[in-house]
Amino acid sequence: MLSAPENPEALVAATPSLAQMLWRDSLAVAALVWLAVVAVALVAGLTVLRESSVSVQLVARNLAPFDFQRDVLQWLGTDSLGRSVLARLCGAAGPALAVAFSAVGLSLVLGTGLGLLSGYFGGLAGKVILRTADMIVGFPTLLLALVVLYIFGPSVSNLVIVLAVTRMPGYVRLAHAEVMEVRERLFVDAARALGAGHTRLILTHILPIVAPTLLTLASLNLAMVMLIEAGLSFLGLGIQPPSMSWGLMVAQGRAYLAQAWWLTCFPGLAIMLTTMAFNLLASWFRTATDPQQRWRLQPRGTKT
Amino acid sequence: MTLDPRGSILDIRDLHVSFRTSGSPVTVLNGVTFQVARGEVLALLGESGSGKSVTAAATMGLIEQPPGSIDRGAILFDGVNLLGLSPADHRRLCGERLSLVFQDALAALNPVYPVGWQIAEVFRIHGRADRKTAALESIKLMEAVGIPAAAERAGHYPHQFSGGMCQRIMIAMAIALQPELIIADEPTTALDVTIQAQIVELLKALRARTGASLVLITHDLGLVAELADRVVVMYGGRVVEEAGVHDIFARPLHPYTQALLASQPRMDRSNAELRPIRGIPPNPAAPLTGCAFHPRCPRAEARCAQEAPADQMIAPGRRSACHFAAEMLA
Amino acid sequence: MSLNQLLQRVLQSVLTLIGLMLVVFVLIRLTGSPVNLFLPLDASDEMREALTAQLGLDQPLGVQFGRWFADAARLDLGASLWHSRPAAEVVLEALPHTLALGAIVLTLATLGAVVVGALAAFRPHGLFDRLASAGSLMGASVPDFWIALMAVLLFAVSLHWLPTSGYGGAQYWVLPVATLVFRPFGVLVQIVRGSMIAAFTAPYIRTARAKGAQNRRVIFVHALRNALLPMVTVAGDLAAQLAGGVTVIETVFGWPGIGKLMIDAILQRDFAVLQAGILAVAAVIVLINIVIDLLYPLIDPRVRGQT
Repeated sequence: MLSAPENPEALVAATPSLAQMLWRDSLAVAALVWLAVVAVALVAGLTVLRESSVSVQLVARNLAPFDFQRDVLQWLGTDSLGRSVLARLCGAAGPALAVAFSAVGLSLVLGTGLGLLSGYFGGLAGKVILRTADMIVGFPTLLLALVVLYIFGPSVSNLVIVLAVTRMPGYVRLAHAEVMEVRERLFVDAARALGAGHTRLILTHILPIVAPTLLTLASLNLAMVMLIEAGLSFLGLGIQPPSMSWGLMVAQGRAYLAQAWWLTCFPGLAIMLTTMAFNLLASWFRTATDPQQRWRLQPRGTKT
Repeated sequence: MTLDPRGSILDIRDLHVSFRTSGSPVTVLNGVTFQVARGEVLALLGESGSGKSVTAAATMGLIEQPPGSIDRGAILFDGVNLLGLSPADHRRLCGERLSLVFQDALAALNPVYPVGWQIAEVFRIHGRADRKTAALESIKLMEAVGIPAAAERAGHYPHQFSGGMCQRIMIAMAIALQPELIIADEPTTALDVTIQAQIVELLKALRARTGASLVLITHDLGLVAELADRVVVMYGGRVVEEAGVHDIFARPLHPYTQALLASQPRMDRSNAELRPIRGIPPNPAAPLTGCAFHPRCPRAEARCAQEAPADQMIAPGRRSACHFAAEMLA
Repeated sequence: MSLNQLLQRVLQSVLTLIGLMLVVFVLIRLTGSPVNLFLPLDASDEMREALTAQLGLDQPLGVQFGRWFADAARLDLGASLWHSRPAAEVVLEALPHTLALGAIVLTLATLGAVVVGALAAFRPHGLFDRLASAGSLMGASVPDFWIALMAVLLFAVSLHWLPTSGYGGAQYWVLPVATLVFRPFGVLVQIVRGSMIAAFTAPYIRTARAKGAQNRRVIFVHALRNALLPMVTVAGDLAAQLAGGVTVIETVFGWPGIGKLMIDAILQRDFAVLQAGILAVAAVIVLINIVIDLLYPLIDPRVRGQT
């Protein structure tokens, strides 16, 4: 009753694009900027800075950061083997993000698929899938990952698989619940009456409706998976040397906490900022795809 | 019947309310003016979207600003401009001297507290009674509105009552502190017909007993005929006609009111076709120049599209916002 | 909840636990030679054979499972090779330390989140809300091991106010609790805020205002009670996570809890302890879930009296 009266024509004309809505949320823009920086660092780490991240220069051991008269690469300090912290940060971006995106991508696709199927077709299989998901989701991810990685060895593929498996139930349950709700709606019956088969119904009609919530979950999961991977690497069961990960860098720097604080500080800061960026984008995405909250991201209208 | 403003309990003057939306702000109330005399029942009649509920919300201080905004006007309650009060002071009057009965009663009750507690809360908020006395009073009120086994049911939760019972509970909350003005927003719309009749009887009885003024917001002409003393007709965020209830039904002086009455199905005219009002309700996001009703008006002329009719007093106690009102009276 | 329902839940939980242990059982044997998990990497072949025979790993799978299950039912979870004591004993010693830590952290996080979240929800996108959102965003984004190390650096190494690690009197608790409370607090603030905003748009809030209730009453009496349910659900999840997820913090601070025990067990290849630890954590989580289920009807009257 107190919501603004609907006017279809005016609303259609005024619905802004995603880019416009992004621009209105300054924090989301900042997050995007940071992620762009990380992307650049990632590329640099793989190409230009690859040498510097591994070359040992004992002469330049444990140099403190922020001394701008030195070589650019040493602006964030060096570690106990003289390697540039800046270069290593860039080099570690790759593995950390690769693991995060693969794990989330895998869990998104498989989890959504399982959830859609179990919600749509129901039956015993559906119940079993849901029950299993409930069981997994209750258990602390880190612990589960630890145990599995211990048993099967901490390779990167094992890492991605175990992270994906622990995150999957979230999508299964969400997709299941959303399908159950959408399935009851009239337009599904209408489509079915027009002769649409199961596949078409799921992919063309149901999936676009449930997609925004699932994508929001995915962006939140990116943040979570990054933190878990960092924790696992910190404990020694994640990404293994000679590969690099920010979590691993923190672990390696821990021994020198008192003398060389920058070795633990900067990698952790990188983790935190990247995770924050994913969280901010997730929150922006949630507001942008919620029709009731969207007005906050609209460009301000002028009175006629 | 001339209205002396000093005798009115509620005096709304030139109220303008708009809402921020995805496009430009939308004006929902476009200069609403009317008064409610003490002890009378005023019906606020109009279709959905005419602005009746927004008017009630503004009076009770329930408009969230943003996205809403009260742009102009005054709402005088017993001479005091409610819009000039601080939200806290405005809030203090609500429930005590003026109250609102909501449309969907079940949704309007808090699901996690017993109904007796919710009625008693009105006393406690305004410091009129301690917990025990308030509880006793609330049982008495439940009995007064006709809820059987009140003492026992006071401990029950809203979901354990039917729609009609919930509506009675809402009414009990509204009359608890014997306010001078009660606004009832579509009090019977969500109920089925037999229950509707009971609620109407209840409202009549309460009015006789307490002497409070009642503003009845509705689009139900039958309810208007049964309860109202005077009628204010709203369309497109404005008042288009105001008259005593007999005059409104006997000789409406605005084309919209006429069309509304003509569109009612009649028991005494069998086999007659229904006569709906042609056209669609106005679009507040795209206001027209001139009279808001002119696209649907059988009397419309060129003048109506350009010039908005003034709200004139055409006879004692009768207003109409139509260029041809005087002609219709003659 | 009736006694019948309670028993049903308990039975379900026991089945879940059995299922979990079955999964672990299968996983171990999938690796081909489970005995390797129990021995250091440089153990001799004779040791492997001896242990294989001792653990009955040369028996058919059915017999193995039967034996293992019978043992587990008696709470005989094997002997810790490292500690030279029954694994169950070692685990039960460490568990209370983790539980105590988790309980304090969760209580503080919940109380703080209720107040901050409720006030933030009252003026969405106002100043307080933005600050609270920023704070909880950081809380949810910060790697706990990193913040722990930074805190150690500041308070222990530089300022010498607090010890760097260990277990003992009050001062040993400060840093672990402070670093652990960030993330649950951050998550709960957002949950409370979200469900409070949803509660604020509910029709009964307008009724409360129409009755004359001032803001404080509207927030804390009307909206909060309704927002509690989602919060309790999430708090339950967080409790479960805390039960097993304080691993990293315990490692950093040398806290003698179950997380550190399991990490050590991994490094020492003491699989009996690891297995026992998993069972203990799973049991705690199951218990927490049952408690949450018991809480629901107390909070939401609509759920009561449902068979």
